[in-house]
Amino acid sequence: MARSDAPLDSPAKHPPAVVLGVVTTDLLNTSEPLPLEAAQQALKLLPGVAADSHRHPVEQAVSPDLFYGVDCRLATIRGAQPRAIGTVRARAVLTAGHVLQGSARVDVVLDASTRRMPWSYYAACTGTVEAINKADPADLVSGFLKTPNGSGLLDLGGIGTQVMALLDDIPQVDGRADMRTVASRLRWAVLVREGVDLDAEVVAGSDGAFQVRMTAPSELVPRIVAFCEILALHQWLLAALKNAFDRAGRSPKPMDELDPALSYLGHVWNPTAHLPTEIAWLWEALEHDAQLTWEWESTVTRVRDKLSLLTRKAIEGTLHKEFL
Amino acid sequence: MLIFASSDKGGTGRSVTSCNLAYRLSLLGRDVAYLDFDFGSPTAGAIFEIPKMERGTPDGGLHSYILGEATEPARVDVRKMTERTSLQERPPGSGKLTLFPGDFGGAEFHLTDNHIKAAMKLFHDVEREFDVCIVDLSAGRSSALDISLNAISPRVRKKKQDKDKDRIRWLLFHRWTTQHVIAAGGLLFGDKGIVPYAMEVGFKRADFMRLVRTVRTAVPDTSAFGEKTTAEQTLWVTRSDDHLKALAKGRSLGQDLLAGTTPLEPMLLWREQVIMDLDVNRRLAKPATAQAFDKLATKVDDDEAWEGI
Ligand SMILES: Nc1ncnc2c1ncn2[C@@H]1O[C@H](COP(=O)(O)OP(=O)(O)OP(=O)(O)O)[C@@H](O)[C@H]1O
Ligand SMILES: [Mg+2]
Repeated sequence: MARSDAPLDSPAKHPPAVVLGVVTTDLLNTSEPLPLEAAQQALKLLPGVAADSHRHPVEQAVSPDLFYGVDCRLATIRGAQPRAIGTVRARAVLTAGHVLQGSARVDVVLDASTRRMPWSYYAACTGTVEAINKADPADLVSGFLKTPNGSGLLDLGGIGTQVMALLDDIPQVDGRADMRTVASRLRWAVLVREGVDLDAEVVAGSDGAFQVRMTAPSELVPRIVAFCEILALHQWLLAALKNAFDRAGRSPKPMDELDPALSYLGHVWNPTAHLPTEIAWLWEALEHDAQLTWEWESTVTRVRDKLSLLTRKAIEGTLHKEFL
Repeated sequence: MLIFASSDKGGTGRSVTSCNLAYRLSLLGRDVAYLDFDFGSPTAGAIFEIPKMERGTPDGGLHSYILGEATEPARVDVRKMTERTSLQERPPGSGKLTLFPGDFGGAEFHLTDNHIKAAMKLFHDVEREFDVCIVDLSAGRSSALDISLNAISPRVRKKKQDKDKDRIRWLLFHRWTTQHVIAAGGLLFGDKGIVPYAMEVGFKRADFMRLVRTVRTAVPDTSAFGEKTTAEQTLWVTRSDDHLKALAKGRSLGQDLLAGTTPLEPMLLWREQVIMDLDVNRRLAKPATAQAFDKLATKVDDDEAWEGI
């Protein structure tokens, strides 16, 4: 119990009951991939804090965490929607200088207080929201995964998009990506249980995007975030390449679809590069069922075959003209 | 490409023609988005025959998006959601057809910088995903129209420096009668018209006029008189047409500005809908109607045909 003369009990003392996250993925809207140095500059979203980065095996830069204040409802399936107040943690991840992700997540603390506290109380504990009404953790997990949108609800996807939009305005980004792409959203939720082994299930949501539902101790959360970002990246890559192939089949200029797709994305697939070891089994299980890498490779082959066919035809066309 | 659909009067056929244009463009293989910016009366859901969306969506439509109440606008895959079975099929070689519905019970609102920013973001996002985005504006000089003009003004689209690649079309729909021609001219060129406002937000007049074309809708021919027409009627129709052509030309809405003409289609007199080739094959719709929509789609899609009329 907080005494009146003592600082208010910080929510940090309360462990989260659930952790919720959304990863939004799309192509950075620029014609050429950003070199790593430029990416580091671009992702320096806070003054004085450098972006994290690595060069191998795939170049990647990660922005510092940004925090967004929220006062919203949390989706549920059975119970009433609790009101939650606090801050959401979000970051931008740029892979191969071209694939951009907005990754937002929040720890949800239950039963800490039953009334709205002054803002300073919430600001003291970043990346956490506190629900001021009763809620069942498992219900929050299901509600979050099954309710993509709704007015007044926690909108992690929207926050991820906001972080991504910060990159639209920088000078290195020319706004002329040569490829049509569809942004994708991966939702994930962890029911926090200390001392248990990670249990996880990946399912396809109503929009076809993967969703990850997990039970895990809180110490694993950073690795779970990394896993979900990797999963989102690769599901997006596959969808983007297939979309380009599909569009090439009906475009008057099929080369204009296939060429950028291959040069932008062809070299990016490497799901195990930064996969945390504790969670590698989940990727393997997924590969076993969904065969994502096989599908990627066969799609790349189809794109290459089609490109070389088109190139050959184009060359034959010119030769033919010269001959005439 | 962004295509704006405007008209002075209500009931000109702006929405029905635009939906048919969207459908035909998707048949040509383009990925098409239809943005219902007729905030007061969004009807695209009804035209595409999407249940529970006849008058917009109950949650998070474009109206809420522009107001900043929804971070992502609702969207519907028309082929997945339409009640019309023949429309559900995606013919080989055709592209996506996605509706961004308006809100049920939406209304017009004031013009603010935030609304313009939201529209800019929306256009930016849909253009990255779709080949063609058709924006159905409300009739007259509405706030939807003002927001749109601000959002496409050269002042704010600076990142697309390559002017030739910035594909924007502005369609003005009007019926083929004296009053409609006069009204359409007024909306485009009048003191409070589209062109003066476009110039106010930063367009050069000539640049904006390069974007503008008209569509004459539901144009009748002598058959409107009945199966057999008298020589007098035929002559009268020719004269009236000539008179209208002269009127249109006098109001700078002549042939050089014309993108297409749709014939009076009996099916559309009963029901606002997509006219499919199937309807022609079943001998319900006039072949000329399907052809007119197709021709308009082809023209809009082809830069040279569009420019060099
Ligand atoms: N070519 C045509 N032949 C006959 N009727 C048509 C034709 N095109 C449209 N119509 C009919 O005209 C009416 C008005 O069309 P529509 O709703 O598209 O107009 P609008 O300009 O969008 O009107 P509003 O401003 O009210 O939104 C509808 O009943 C429609 O079916
Ligand atoms: Mg309409």
